[in-house]
Amino acid sequence: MEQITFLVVDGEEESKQNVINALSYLKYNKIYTANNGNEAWSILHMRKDVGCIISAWEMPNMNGIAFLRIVRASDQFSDLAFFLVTDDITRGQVVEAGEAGTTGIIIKPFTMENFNKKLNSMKQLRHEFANLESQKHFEKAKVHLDNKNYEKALSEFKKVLEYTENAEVYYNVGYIKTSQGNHEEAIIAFRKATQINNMFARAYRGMGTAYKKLGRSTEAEESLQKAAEIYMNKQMDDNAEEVLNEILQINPNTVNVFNSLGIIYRKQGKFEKALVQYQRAQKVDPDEAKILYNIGRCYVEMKDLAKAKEAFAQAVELSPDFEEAKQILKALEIGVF
Amino acid sequence: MTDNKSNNYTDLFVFQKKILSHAKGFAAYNVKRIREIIRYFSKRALDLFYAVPFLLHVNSPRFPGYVESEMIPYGIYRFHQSGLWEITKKIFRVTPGEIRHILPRSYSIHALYLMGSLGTIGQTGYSDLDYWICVDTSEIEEKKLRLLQQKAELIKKWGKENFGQDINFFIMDINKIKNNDFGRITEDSSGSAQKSLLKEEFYRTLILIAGKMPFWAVFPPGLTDKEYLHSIDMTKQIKNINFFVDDHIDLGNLSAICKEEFLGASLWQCFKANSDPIKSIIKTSLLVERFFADDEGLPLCDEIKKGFQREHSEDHIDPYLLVFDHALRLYETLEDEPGLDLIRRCIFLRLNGIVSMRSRLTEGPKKALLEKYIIDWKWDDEKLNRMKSYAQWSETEKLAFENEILRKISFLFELLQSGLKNDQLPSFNMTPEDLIILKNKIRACFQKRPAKIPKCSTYLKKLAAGSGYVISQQIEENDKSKWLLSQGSLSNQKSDRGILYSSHSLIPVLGWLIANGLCTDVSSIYFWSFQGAITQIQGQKLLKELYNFFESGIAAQGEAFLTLQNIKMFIALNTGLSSNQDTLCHVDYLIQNTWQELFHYEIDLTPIENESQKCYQIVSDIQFFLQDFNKTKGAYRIYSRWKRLETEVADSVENFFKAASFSELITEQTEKKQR
Repeated sequence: MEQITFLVVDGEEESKQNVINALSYLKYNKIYTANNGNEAWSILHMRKDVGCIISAWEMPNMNGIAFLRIVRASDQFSDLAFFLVTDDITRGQVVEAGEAGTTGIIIKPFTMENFNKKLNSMKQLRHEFANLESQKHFEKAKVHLDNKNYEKALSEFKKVLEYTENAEVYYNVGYIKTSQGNHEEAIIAFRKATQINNMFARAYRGMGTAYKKLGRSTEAEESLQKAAEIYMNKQMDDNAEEVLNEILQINPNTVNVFNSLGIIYRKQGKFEKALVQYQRAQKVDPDEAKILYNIGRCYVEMKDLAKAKEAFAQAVELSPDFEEAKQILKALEIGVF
Repeated sequence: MTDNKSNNYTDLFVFQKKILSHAKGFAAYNVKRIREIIRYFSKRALDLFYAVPFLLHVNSPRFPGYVESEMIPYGIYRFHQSGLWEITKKIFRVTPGEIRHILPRSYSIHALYLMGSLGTIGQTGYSDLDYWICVDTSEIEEKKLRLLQQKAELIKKWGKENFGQDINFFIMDINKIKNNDFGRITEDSSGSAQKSLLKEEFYRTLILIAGKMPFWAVFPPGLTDKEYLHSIDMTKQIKNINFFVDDHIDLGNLSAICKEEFLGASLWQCFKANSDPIKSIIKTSLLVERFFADDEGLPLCDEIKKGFQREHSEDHIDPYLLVFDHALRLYETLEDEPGLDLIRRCIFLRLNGIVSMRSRLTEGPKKALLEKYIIDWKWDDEKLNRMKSYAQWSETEKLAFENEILRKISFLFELLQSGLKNDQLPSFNMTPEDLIILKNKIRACFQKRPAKIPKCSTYLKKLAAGSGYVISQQIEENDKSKWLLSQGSLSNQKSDRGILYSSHSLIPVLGWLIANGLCTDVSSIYFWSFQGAITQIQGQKLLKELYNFFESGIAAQGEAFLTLQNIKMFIALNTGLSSNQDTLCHVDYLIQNTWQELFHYEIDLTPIENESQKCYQIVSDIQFFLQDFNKTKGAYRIYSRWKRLETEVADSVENFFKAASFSELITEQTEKKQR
């Protein structure tokens, strides 16, 4: 079995030891440990061989989610397998963890079987293959794919899947099926890929495109939206922008898309472009205070304080408890001479 | 049109475009800073922040800050056309009919600025409001300026009493600012120690609250003085409805900072470390970093200016973040790991605000920065929790931390001195008198001398003045007394951590409270002793006597630091002795000098049998300690809880002095006759 180096992060000794014991039982012997996110972050930088993080959700000062976000924000570790361990979880937390980019959630107490299953899903993520044989098939498939020999490529990918489930393989299958115009099957393959890795933006995008081809615009929009969110979370703004524009082709009046594009352009310092997007969003949903707030922010950056004041005033009028908008409006009332 | 004229028009067109864009940039930046003030201040503090410009703009008996005089200069340039005027009109419920009565006929204040940490990540809930009131003294006579000063004092007092917030007003002459003339050390200002540096800090941190915008903000960075003056001339030619030259003020250019100023400024920071060591080490580190920086004295405020003048800038540069970056850079450059660790701890405490440490930071740029720092600095939980619990550190731990800071500041000062020594003798660029005063102030704060009452931690000084203290007597194994001082209740004395100060005599413990300005309300000090050594009433009475005698809390003024002389001596008889004493056994002396240092001495008089000889011993000691000081001006005070003993000794001492004067007179007359 290929050795993966684990980093187990937990402030509680007993809980940490349970995870270490489980890993040892599964013959994973390269394990680093840390008591908190800060220590873990140091280890990640010092030891370059960490292949998977298993972190407690609840930790003092910086909880597991916060640590995960920091890890995901870093270019170096954005794809690193990251499991959160917790003994209690709500639906909202699952969504939060998913959005932050977790590989999986391990619920305590766990059985050895469940624990092993989770780790296997991680191996699939890491494009690891059950054995040398399956890896050879994968490499052959990639060559066929590059040469557009789709059937041969499909055949090789299927051989890989006989050994193990793999998100990347399913993505490639989906890609081939799309190229062949077989969108229903493409969707199935892309969905499999996202089930293995719920942060697989390319697979969501592929799925969205396939739905679009089938004329199922609601599902297409949903999938593309998910892809855009992942790209934005990973600060891959160019990819996000492309996907968002793709959504606009399906539904030219999607508020979230306009708003997201606005955020991307604002971050890039393209304030005029951002403003155009926000204004489009506002046209669709004129009663959304957050859009007006974003418009106001844009005007501040463009140094047009009179218009900024107008936008913030409207935001406060729509949502009188909108504290951020109220504060900046007050600052504008004071600071504009 | 000639080519020359055409060029001039093109130049003016380009210039005008730039100036308009820069003015908009500054206005947007100013709004962002004000927005941060609103974010970090409580509603109470904000109400005061809104009120101050209004109170400087009007002078009416209906509003705080009223000075009854026709001559008083007040009113801020165009304030009644601002949004803040509209806000404050509502706060003070000014009726439309009232407006014309309260509005000034003309304005005396050209601009009102805030400077310092407000509107930056360095702002805390209790940050002082440091206002610069800019006036033109060529327009206002001296006595009128004093009235404005009086008005400012009244507003300051009103702010403190009603909002618990400290406001500092600095009435600044615009011509003096232009010439970097910021007063003298003797006026308790750092002006002599830092000239361009103070201007740099002003430009780096200013927020325009009301009145005119400085020309500095609209001109591009890096102008020579000549270019700056030329630019002012050019602005007079601008004809645009969005730019009025009168809305701007010339507070002078800032091209470069003379290296010698850094030494004086860091010496000033050595002194300021007495009241806020954390702030001082950050400022000193910045000074040293700037001193040795490659960019040859390019002012840091230009970095801020570049930021807000940029065409597109999503986030403005926070002036405090800039300071932290440079302070950290110093230790990284020096490869000084302990120094880097120290400055990180100081930045952490500065960001958290040592007062509000117990409350969690709310979401915002400050919290985000702290989280980033903790990750970047690789702090583990132990370290983080240790720093977070700063407020709970024992007094000894806090003092040790402060001493670590002071040692580093002292090292940095030496580093600067050696930096200058390479090509010239160190010069402080200040008057010799100011240099003596500043050095002596530092000695008074930090020099340890035998019998000197030590200082408390700045944390305690800042936060615990006026809070309750317990002074209790403890009998040790050798039957000797020990007096312990703790904050709050007696239970705090169960462990050493709760003890703030201790001594074998009671008087130095009381002296410690007085010397550190912790005794503002004697009724909040509780006494607990064995066998009636001192009762609650006796203790409080003694403390009140000491407080009144030394007039605690009044800091020595500048000139007082030119010479060193003992000026006051409190003589406490038989303090802390339990039984009724007819005879004099023990005397405690508390002596104060012109630098406001306090010293404690004690003598055991039991070996002297004769009561009169004991009094003579006291007379000798008074003469020794107070030397030529004029004793008739209440320079010494004899006190005992046993009134008969006090009267007898006081009379006896007085008689000795009278006899001595008589004898001196006789000697003088004899000498005259002989001559």
